[in-house]
Amino acid sequence: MIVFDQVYKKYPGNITAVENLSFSIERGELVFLAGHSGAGKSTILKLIAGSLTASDGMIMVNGIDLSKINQNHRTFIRQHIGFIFQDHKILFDRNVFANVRLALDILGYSEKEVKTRVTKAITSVGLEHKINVMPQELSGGEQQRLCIARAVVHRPKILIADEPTANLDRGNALRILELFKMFHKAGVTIIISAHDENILGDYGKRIIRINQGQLGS
Amino acid sequence: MKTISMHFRSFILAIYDIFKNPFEQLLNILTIAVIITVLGSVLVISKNIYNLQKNNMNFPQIVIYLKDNVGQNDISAVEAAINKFNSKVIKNYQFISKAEGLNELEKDKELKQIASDVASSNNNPVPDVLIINTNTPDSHSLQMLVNKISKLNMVDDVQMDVNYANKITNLVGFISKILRLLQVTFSIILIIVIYNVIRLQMLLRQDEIIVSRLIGASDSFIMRPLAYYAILQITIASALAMYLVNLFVIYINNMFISLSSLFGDGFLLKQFSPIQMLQVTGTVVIFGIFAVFLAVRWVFRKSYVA
Ligand SMILES: Nc1ncnc2c1ncn2[C@@H]1O[C@H](COP(=O)(O)OP(=O)(O)OP(=O)(O)O)[C@@H](O)[C@H]1O
Ligand SMILES: [Mg+2]
Repeated sequence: MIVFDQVYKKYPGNITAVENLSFSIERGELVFLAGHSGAGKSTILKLIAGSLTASDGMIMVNGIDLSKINQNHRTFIRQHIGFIFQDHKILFDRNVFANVRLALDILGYSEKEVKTRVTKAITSVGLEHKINVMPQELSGGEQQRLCIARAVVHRPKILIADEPTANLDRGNALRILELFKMFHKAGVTIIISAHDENILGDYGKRIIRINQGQLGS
Repeated sequence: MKTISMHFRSFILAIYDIFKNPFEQLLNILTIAVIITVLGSVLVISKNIYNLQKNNMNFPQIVIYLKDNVGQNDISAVEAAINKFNSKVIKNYQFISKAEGLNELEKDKELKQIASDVASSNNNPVPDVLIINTNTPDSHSLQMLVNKISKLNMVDDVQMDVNYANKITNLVGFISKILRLLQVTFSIILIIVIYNVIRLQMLLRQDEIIVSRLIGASDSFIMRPLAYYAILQITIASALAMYLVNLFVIYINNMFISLSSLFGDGFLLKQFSPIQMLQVTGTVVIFGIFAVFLAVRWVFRKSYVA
């Protein structure tokens, strides 16, 4: 369960990115976070993952008040969230397999477990034939799949995706959304941001609309 | 078990990284090695100067010139007089007979001709000499010694060069100060260079550092392989530097080999002992680990990752 209660986020230079925002997301829910560019979507997702801290208000993730935890605890929370970054954050000095395994190395998995889990994750996003390929040789959609594989390889309970369908054609975007549906069916809580609402319509899931850092309509 | 295998993996990754870009690594290693070599050479010289001071190389020498035609009995009498003084004043003494003295003269290129003329004339003018190496700078007790010996009737003259000794003391003190200054300067340069070399390497890896951090890596997970990497690099650099310092010592000793035949081993530099090498390497490695810590913090700060 994720709860925002009157949350504010100000960036240096008195830029208010999130203003008096309250909402909650149930365990196992799949929600979309929609809003125009600069509305504050990425900021909200980073607040949930604990890579940013709120200026005011309370954020609870699985019963933990994020404003009251220390660095080690924050690290621990990040380990239990899968995050798909808007700018991908793929490491271009290593192949697909090595990119995905990073998430497991952090948790200290054995070499054998790494091999089976990484192969499974890469297969689940349909990249098994590219497992030893360098990221430069992947298409945009394939790079997005790589990011998803890295985010789910350690089987997090919460999956956060920041504009995973941006820059993809409709067909590819829909295929990516199908993947998220699959993880949703497995019981993962999923939050997906998007600036283009057209593609979300058919899914019948809740849409949280953000406008200039506040709940919009 | 998990921790040990994580350490092992970090170590293997570090070795792999060093061999992945051997030329880049070589440049970094050489940079660090050169500075450790300079610092190490300064340390070796300082240590030897300190030993020189400790071994009282700079306390006055007393030269006793004996009268012409003294016999073995007379010499023994002077030696007996010297032996009455305790070891706090006298370190040791050495008898140089007139024949030996002439021999020494013949070794000198410029005096050679004169010496051989004198030798052939069968009338050696060089006196028998006793040289006392003293063990104290205390002029009062030294003067007492000089007075006592002057009174012996087989003694022609006694000379003590206090001024010369003072000059040496001052010179050695001055050199020590300069060396200490150089030590501090090169230590600071070493710290800055190590920090900068490591910071640049962290800059090359900042994507990895940031991504790891964002997906939940702890500080120790991020720093462990980087620390091993730094330790390996610095250890290789330090080993190279220790070898170069030893070459430097051998080179200097060859230069001073002629001096050492006159003044004894005091003028030969001693090399670092294995323990001292480990101390130097250990200190530099600790700098390195600290530099990794600072450099990673710097990457976090620069990229706004909490
Ligand atoms: N590090 C930062 N420092 C200062 N201002 C920032 C920073 N990051 C974001 N902002 C500002 O905060 C506001 C919200 O940014 P955010 O990235 O959350 O928007 P977004 O909804 O994700 O936009 P997009 O759809 O373009 O990704 C914007 O006005 C942006 O300029
Ligand atoms: Mg964004």
